[in-house]
Amino acid sequence: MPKYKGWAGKILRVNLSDGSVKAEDTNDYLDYIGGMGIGYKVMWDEVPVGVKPFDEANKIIFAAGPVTGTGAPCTARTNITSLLPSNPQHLIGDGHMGGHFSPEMKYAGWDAIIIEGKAPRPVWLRIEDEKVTIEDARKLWGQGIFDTTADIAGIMGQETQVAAIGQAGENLVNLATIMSNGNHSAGALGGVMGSKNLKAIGIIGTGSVQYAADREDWIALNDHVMSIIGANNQHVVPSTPQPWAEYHDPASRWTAQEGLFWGAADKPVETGICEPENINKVGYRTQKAVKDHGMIAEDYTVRMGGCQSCPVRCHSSLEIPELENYGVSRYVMNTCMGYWSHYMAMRNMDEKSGFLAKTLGAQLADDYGLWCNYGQLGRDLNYAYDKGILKDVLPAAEYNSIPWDKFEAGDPEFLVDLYRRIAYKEGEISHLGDGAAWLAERWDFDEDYWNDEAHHLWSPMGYPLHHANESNGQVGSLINIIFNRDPMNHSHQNFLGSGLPTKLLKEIAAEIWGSEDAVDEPANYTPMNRAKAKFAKWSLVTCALHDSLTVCNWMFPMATSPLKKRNYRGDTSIEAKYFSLTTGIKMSEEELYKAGERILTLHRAMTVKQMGTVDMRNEHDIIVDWVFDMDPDKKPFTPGTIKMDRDDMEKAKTMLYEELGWDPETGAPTYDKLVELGMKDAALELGKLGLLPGNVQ
Amino acid sequence: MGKEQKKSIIELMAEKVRSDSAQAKITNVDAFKEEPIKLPEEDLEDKLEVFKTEEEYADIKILRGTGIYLFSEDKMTLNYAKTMARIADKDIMALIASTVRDDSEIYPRATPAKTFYQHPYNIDKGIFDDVLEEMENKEEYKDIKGVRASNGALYLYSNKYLAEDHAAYLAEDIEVVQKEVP
Amino acid sequence: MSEEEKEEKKFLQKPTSRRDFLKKSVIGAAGTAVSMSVLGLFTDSAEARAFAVAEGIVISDPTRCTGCRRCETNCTAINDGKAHPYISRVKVGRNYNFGENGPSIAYWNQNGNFGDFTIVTETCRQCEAPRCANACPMGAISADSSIGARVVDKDKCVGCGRCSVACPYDIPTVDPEAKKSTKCTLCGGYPTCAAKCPTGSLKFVPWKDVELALVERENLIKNN
Repeated sequence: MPKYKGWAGKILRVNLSDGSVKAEDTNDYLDYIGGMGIGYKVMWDEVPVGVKPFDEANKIIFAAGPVTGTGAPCTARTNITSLLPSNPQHLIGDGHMGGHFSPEMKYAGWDAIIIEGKAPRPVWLRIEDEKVTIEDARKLWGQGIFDTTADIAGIMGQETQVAAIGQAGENLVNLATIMSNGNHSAGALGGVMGSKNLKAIGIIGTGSVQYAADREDWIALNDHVMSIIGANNQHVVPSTPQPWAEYHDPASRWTAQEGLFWGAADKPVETGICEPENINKVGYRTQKAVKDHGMIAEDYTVRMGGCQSCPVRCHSSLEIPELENYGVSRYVMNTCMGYWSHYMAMRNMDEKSGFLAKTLGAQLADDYGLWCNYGQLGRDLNYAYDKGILKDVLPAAEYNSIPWDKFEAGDPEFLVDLYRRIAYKEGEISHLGDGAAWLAERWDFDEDYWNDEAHHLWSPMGYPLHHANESNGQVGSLINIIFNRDPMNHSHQNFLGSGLPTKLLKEIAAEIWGSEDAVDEPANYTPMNRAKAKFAKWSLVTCALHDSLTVCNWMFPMATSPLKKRNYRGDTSIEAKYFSLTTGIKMSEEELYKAGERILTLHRAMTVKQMGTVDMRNEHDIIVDWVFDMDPDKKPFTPGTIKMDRDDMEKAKTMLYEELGWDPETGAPTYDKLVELGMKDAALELGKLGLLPGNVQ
Repeated sequence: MGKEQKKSIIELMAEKVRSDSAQAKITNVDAFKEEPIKLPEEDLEDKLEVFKTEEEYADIKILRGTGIYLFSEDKMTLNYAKTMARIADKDIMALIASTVRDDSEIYPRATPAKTFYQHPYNIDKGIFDDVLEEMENKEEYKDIKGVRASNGALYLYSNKYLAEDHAAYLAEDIEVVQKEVP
Repeated sequence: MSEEEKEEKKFLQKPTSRRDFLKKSVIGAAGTAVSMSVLGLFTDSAEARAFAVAEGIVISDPTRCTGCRRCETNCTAINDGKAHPYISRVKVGRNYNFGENGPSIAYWNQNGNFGDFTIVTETCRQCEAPRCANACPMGAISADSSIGARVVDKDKCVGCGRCSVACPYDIPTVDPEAKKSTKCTLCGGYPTCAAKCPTGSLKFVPWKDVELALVERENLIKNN
């Protein structure tokens, strides 16, 4: 019996080199909670510096936390940790997917799956509760993700949940996904699975996830969350004026309104007015199809969809008969960048061709398992094309074989050709799938590639901004420098995008971070201050926490709510309450944040160890120049620009490092901080390597 | 009888207001002149006084624009009622200006022009364009300005509360940036 | 099309996964006058003991179900004090990806998340002559006194699983942890699954409206 509730109690270790399968005790990892925490800990302990992502010695960890599978709202995330192929230094990182995979893993009795080694030939992993076998995947190899999932479900049973790679992962494309349920993908790590000859993992779980709380207390907490939950991204006001709402915001994802339908449902389903008190309408609040595609999508919308346990449905399911003209299913489902990235890989489109490009692109990329690097792949193509670089780097025969006429004409069919080339690594153009840093080096991009704001690049490590300086200036910027890929961090973004007036957000900010100064008006920024550093820390720590618990960082923390009677306050203690009620370990919000800090600091320590330098400030936390040089006629901290100031940003880094207890000079974790967080072993190891800041050993 | 009659009228009035509000409509006091209430013009202010002072009608609020409007705040927020009152006043210029000023001041944000083509405003695009042109020449609306995002979408703002550059960025952010980095 | 032909068409469109087909064939053979209505499938009156009908049953509207599966964990939270979709009395997960027939070569056009997006949620029919109750060697399944839900007496149940095998809809499930059968109790008249469904897809339908609701459901699942 597991020591605590919530955790399944066992971690599955599969060595594909020798075919061994072992169960280990989750208790060894409880300080790291689960998910990302387990992933980082395993990587820290077991993967030596110098190992490359596709080496046999690399490992890949699928992990969930104690809350996943309990049925608590928005808790079906799967965290996948390994070395990042697209990162130019192969630093540690993780991809995340929603869907139904990790709850099934928990029901099968596993908190995590550690994959190590490399199979001699293609295999897939079959998990039916405690029974685990490595199966021959030679017949599956070469297939797309959709067919692979269907084949495995055909063998194991229709209730199987599958995580699989497509051709992109098999062919070791750096920008490859791992996918479950047809449209929930974890970016960046598909190639690692491919390098291990692991095509897929299929799971059936017939067990339970237990919680320590009485059922009454458990249900009461669920009801509380359902009472303050908003729409997607915890947007808490509707997008149009509505009778129940004091505020509205055209940018809100609470798009439900009278006269707006799921127009392709078998009988009409109107989203309508969804008063916050009506919990039977939470699932209608976000009509995501019209958010992602505009009103053209209404008539094609079959329904919304999303993850196990989540009442907020953020994926849109569309039926578009024209898609069959391109040889793909008419039924397509995805959300946000899962649609938009394909638009970015095109040009000269009108409303209809843009809609088709987004949806056709989703079908193709989701089957090949191709990742967009948060939209960067498409921008890279357009840059190289416009600069004439493609003509220089592609052999003429290859260049001429690419249907550029379709590209120029805004014909979505161009994507059929392009994505096939990338997924199968056909020719020079397929290096678009290497990732921006590798590509820029290979094709010798000029400085303007990095320094033109239009390309949205954020870091010399080759990732684009993901809610950076456009999201509360220094706060978003700080969040964008810490990880080794684009930050999958929405804590700050959910708060800033809630739709409430800035004045109200400032009041709430003062309650959470000690001062109204934590929040500026959008694009009317003030210089760095302590409260902003606290806001940034809170965002980073809660994100690490969410990816470990595992709860959705696109909904939590719920710092705001749609309820006037609560004066729009949310409740940031929910995660701690779930942790306590689930595991039986009583934990305050503050104590739980400490665990989040531990996990974040371990990520930092691993990054320091891999890079072999403590100077994170100058070697790692680098922001490209456009952020400081954009809008040449404007000064930072004037209305209407998101331009940052170099000195101010260095000050911001110092303040964040201080808040996190890292060395204010270098941004590396100190001996004292590591010891305080219970990671003395890590401190000693870094000390031996000469990777502790200052003289303290 | 007189007293009963009086109470009954105010009750009927309250009933109508609450029922209208529940259907997302505000109530113009002119409606009380009709059957079955048939409220004499001269009694109106007395009745409004009852709504203001008596506990059982505390939810009923009064808005004065060109007309006088009532709503129940149990069923509708003040902000929404104000919007509906501006629409009911049928002064499109004032409607646009006050909506834009509120957005610029409160959130702050620039107001997408397309907001006005949609529910609950439902202004014809042709009429909207004409009205906007006319507003440019009116002293009382000289703070209302337009700005276009790079995709061509028109946004309005009040330069009493938002600088031009600021409004331009906010328009660009919602039209373009939020889509490219969702 | 005549009314009769329409009825016949509906009948032919019944769920026909291999296991279901066998079970339903048995019902058809035993019930001498198989009703051409959907209700006929689960009244089965010629064969067995019948109880007074329940006040109603829970039915999912397939156009509104988004597959969040909150019903499954809400069901086991209130009934079992744990999260356990496998024993949930509402079954969503098993049909979620590929519909009730499982994946076929034409999964693109089948139900489920990999198909036409229709989520086929299975709920207990509270049959008039419940095959689960009739199959139970311990007599552990009977109609409760309040609203007539067919419920398992945990003290009598030995977890043999005959009820699961007998049910044409695979609703009763033996809890592998408690070793007792579980099936829908209608939560004493206030089914939690329906009360907390985030899209109102699950509804408690009064018995008099059940047949119509099920016919409509069948038609929507078959995407006519």
